[in-house]
Amino acid sequence: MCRKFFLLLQKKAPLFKFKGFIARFFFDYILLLGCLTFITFVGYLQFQYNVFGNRFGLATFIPMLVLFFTAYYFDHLGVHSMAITTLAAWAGIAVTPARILQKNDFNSETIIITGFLLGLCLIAAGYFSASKKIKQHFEFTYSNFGTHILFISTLAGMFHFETIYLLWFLVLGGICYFVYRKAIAERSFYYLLTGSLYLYTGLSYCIIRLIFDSADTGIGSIYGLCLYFILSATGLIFFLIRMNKKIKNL
Amino acid sequence: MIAYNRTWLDNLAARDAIKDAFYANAVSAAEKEAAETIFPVGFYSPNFFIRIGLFILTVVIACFSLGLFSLIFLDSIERSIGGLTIFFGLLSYGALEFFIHTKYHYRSGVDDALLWITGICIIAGINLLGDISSSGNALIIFVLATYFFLRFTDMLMSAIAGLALLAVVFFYYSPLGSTAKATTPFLLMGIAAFMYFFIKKQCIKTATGITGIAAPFWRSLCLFVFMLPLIIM
Repeated sequence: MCRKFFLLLQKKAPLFKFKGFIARFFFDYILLLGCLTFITFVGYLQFQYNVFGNRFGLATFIPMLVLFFTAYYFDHLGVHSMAITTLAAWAGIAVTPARILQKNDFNSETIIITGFLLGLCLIAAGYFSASKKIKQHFEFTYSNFGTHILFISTLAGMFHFETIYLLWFLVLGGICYFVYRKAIAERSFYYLLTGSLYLYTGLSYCIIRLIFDSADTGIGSIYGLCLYFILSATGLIFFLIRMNKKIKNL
Repeated sequence: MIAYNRTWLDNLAARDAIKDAFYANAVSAAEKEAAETIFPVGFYSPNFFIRIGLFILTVVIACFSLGLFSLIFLDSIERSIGGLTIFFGLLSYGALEFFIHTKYHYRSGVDDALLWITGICIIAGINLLGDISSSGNALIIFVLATYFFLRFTDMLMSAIAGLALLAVVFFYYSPLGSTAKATTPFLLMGIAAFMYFFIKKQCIKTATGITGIAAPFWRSLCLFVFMLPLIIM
């Protein structure tokens, strides 16, 4: 099935070009089907015949290469998203020892650092894609995945590295500033919202830590925490309302 | 009955129709601009993503406010939790009316969140006060969702109201005997079909301007009833 889909695409689909957008509707679904059947096929080969043995990285690396090539060759955003997901899976598996994978223990420093670096690489790839005008419309997919992975990794870093969580918070603040600038530059409400919510999560974690690390952890601190959340969320609502007006007027 | 400003709702519907006509190249950009002054809308309706943000943050505020209330009544929490939850639901309802009438929120995320919080708190509170049967719950949900749907023209509330109505019929009709049990699916399909044709007729009337009822109200109801037979089948 997969072979048939790709043969049909090779014969009928419009050809690859670096710049611009290739419009076609029917082939998009055929391509998506082809890629999904390909991934299913690779997964089946590994599960049934153990073709890649314990080299799990290879089992994700090959589909990743195929998906990236297909996404660029046939100019498909959906396949591009699948390729980035496979890249993240490959990066995660490549840095994780097999014994940790077998124990399903993902609470590891290596994974957090890898996620952080992967996020940075994806944002850089998005910037490169836009500035060099190579499939400019892929920029959002790169940046979207990149910012989310970066934010999640930074928050995971805050939760995991307990002694230096304030340092991770500073990094989170830096990323938020970058995302805020991007949101203003692109008039993007989406980036504004994601940046604000991730920063709010990080800030709230810091406040909770500061309250519970202090000597008095009685009922007063719970009252304080409730009041903090009510007031801070109200503040963030006013901020979002103000930013909504500001971005609209840009 | 509708809480929002009716004139603005009609103007919003007119603006949407003009926007559709603009995208279909039936109206020029200048005409579209002119329509915005002819049909003024004073609602506060932010961008979709900001709406999501405001929804999440309103839920956060509500949860911690309820937490604060619970802390204040901590000593008698086991006895007062039901009443407290209902009181909080009513307070949220007051806040909802306040935001709609004084701040002109419409689909802003704040009103959406307050609507859901009100419904959930009142139903949860009633259940905490005493053991309510499934049929009783269906009836309460139906009454509340119908009221919210009629007052706030909320599409999801209309869906819940319709499903709750079917649940009410199911819970009260099916225990009546073996014949009732056997005919329940047909009765439910019949009710759905009746609702479908009734609302379709209302939509046609609204489209020709006979009823003059705010368009979003009927649009949300129509959308639900068009979906309902599919859900049942």
